[in-house]
Amino acid sequence: MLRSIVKKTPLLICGAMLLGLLGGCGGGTDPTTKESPSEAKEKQASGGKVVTVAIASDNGISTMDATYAMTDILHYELIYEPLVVFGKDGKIEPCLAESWDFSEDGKEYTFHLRKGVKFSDGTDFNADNVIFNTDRWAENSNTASTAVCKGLQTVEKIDDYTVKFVFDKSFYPYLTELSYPRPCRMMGKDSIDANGKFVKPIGTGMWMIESYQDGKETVLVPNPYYWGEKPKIDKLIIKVIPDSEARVMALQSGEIDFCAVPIPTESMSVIENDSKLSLVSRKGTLGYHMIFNYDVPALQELKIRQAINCAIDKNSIVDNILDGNGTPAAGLFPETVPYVNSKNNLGYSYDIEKAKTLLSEAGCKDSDGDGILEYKGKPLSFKFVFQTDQYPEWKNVCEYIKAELQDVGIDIKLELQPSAQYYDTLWTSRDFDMVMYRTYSDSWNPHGFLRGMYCKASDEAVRVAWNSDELSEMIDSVLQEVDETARQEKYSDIFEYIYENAIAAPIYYPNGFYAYNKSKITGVEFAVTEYELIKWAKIDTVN
Amino acid sequence: MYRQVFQEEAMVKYIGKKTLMIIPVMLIVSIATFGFTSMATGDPAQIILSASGIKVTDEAIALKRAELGLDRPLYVQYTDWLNDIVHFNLGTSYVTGQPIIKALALRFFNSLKLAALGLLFLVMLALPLGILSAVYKGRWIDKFCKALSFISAAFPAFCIGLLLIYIFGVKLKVISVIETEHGWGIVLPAFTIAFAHLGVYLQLIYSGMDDVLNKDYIKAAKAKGLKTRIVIFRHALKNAMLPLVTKFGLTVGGFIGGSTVLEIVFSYRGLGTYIMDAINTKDYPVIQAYVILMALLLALINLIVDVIYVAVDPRIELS
Repeated sequence: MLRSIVKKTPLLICGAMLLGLLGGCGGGTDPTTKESPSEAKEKQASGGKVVTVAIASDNGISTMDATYAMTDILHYELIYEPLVVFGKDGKIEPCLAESWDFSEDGKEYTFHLRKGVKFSDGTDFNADNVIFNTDRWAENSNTASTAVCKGLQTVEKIDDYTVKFVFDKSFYPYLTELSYPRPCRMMGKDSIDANGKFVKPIGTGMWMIESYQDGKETVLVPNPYYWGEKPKIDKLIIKVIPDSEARVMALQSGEIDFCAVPIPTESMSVIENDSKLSLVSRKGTLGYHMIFNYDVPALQELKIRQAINCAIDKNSIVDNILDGNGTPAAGLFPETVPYVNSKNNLGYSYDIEKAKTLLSEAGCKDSDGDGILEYKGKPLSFKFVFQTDQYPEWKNVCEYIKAELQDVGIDIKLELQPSAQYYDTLWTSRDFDMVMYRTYSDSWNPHGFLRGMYCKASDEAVRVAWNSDELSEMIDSVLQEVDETARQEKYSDIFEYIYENAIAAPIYYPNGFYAYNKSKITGVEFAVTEYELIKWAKIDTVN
Repeated sequence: MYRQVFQEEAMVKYIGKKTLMIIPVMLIVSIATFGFTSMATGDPAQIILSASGIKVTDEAIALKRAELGLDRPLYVQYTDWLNDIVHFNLGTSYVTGQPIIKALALRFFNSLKLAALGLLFLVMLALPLGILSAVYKGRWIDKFCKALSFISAAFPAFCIGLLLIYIFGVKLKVISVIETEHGWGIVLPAFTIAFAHLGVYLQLIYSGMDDVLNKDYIKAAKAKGLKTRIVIFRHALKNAMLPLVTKFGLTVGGFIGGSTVLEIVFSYRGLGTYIMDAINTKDYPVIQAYVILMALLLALINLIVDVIYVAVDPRIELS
């Protein structure tokens, strides 16, 4: 008797554990409803139309100061508004400022503000409010890098709905910069306390915050005072889901309706095979390219830089490594960027023989027969730095580039660095021969990127991506150009200079793939900028 | 009687001494963290300002450094921090500008909750299975346990986690994919974290039990005619478990300390992701607060482990 019980004990214990586990996982909900627990709860909680969106990270409500850059960028767009917005093809359109005029020297801008605009707390938006915001830009580490904040000398109130901005110099992108999602958006006075410390976000935008959990979710409801097109839905919930696989699974389970973060290439087939989900591609304004260190003697040789450009098969990278998820690059910027067009977007096409000829013309020879060419007695061996924290697909791309350059006799030592170290290498220590990099996006292109990479502020010691006074002067000149036609010409000259001198090796322009649940939401239309992402007033729930 | 009083007195002294030892340990730990963090590449001011990937000017960085107090010499930063700590002020985060205590408390209790459930799962699974595999050595249950430890050791935890989310969240829809902090949602992450450690514990319990079961005193107990149950639970188990107490103490600390990868997979706001974010942005005050908290916790756990040893094993002399 005892023996038989003891013999059966393992079976009994295992059985009990299995039961316990299944009970634990399945408890509480009825699996036949096929609705996840939180989904059901949300529907009960509010009778209205709710749309749930996923983002990857968020640093908390305390970082939602309009001038600070630490919160997820979408929040700024939904809550705050700028004086002007960045429209199609970079055209600056009215927003909180209905119209504006500038003085002939390009230093004075007069903005005529929209009347009847209220913040989500019911207070009026007017000239005093603009000055409240511009006052916060002075001596502020968060705004010091933005030309429009830095260059602003005085702001004068002409009347309640007219303000005059006086700048230190003429600089055409001032207006563009005022459209940035940060740091130039207008915040209500009660956003900060008596000590000037940020307390809560108050804006004139379409949405306002109803509730918030740091690093977890933001619940937004329509701003009742919003002057523009009102949203069709009653609630917008933004959920923080750090893992890309988990985001896709949350879409599949119906817990989120739209994923505001691009879908990784490896998950795309999952979305395509799910009849409820829809995958949409958005042509971006980013360009990925290789930066050369201008202090390295071999890379100071034009023919070597041109040879590197010719040795990389960009079509093959897009087709074979990215599964078509991008466009092979010509110049630095894709043609979605203002002032870039098919005529001035020049690049080197893949030609391995030409690459070899250029290398030998540059005086490179493989004298010791190790397969690596030597230039002035030193082997052509380069340290190529990249990161995968923000750009996971770069690993395969960089490995491919290494293999291609090996074929023409250039040795590449790949170095993967964590994001913070990567930027330190690029901007501070300069300990690299080549770096995989990307342009800025949306309204920062092309002016912000060119200025950041090829020019230097008066207090700075070195330029980042190329050291040429000529290029730097060309950029300075276009930034001060008030005439549109002349500006286009000057930009074309700059793009040509970059091409002729091969100061970078453009690789490809990535596409963003976004997914949504078409059985639950409709009206998903891409907005002009990536930070606004979709037209939030158009989105609606299915029934 | 006399011996018992002596033991109690000695025990109090012992605990007091051990507790006092925690202070210098923490001091060394804090200096080491401060040193290592500042040695790592990257300037917090630059990292914070360039979060959006846009190049910032040197002037902006200088302003931010002054704002965060990073322009002071390192030893001043350290002593100021130490001064705050002894006044029970953990300081404010560089990134959020908020007192650390609030965010840390939320993360700590989340991690504590997950750790408690995870440890419960671990004990519930490892203990019976480990004992059974030793008692029924070579039988099917033993083979099953060996297979289980193999899977547990071979599969990375995030893999198991994603698989479970897919099965229960996407296919069966019985559990939320992202709401893991409340209600039933916590079961999956807790099970996953337990499963990741199951393999090691199964093996440890198995070998411990197997060792003890072959000892002469067990044979003697069996020969005496004691019931198998009593032999196993009263004589063998207690002796087999002793070496496991230390390992278990470390596991408790590890569980509470947080698992970054699992927290990311399960969208769980625990200490693991909290410290990882702080390390990435070089948010010194947060890193320091975390390290102090964990050092304190581990020191306490070690103290408890020591006390358990003394309490359970009378052969250990306190003097």
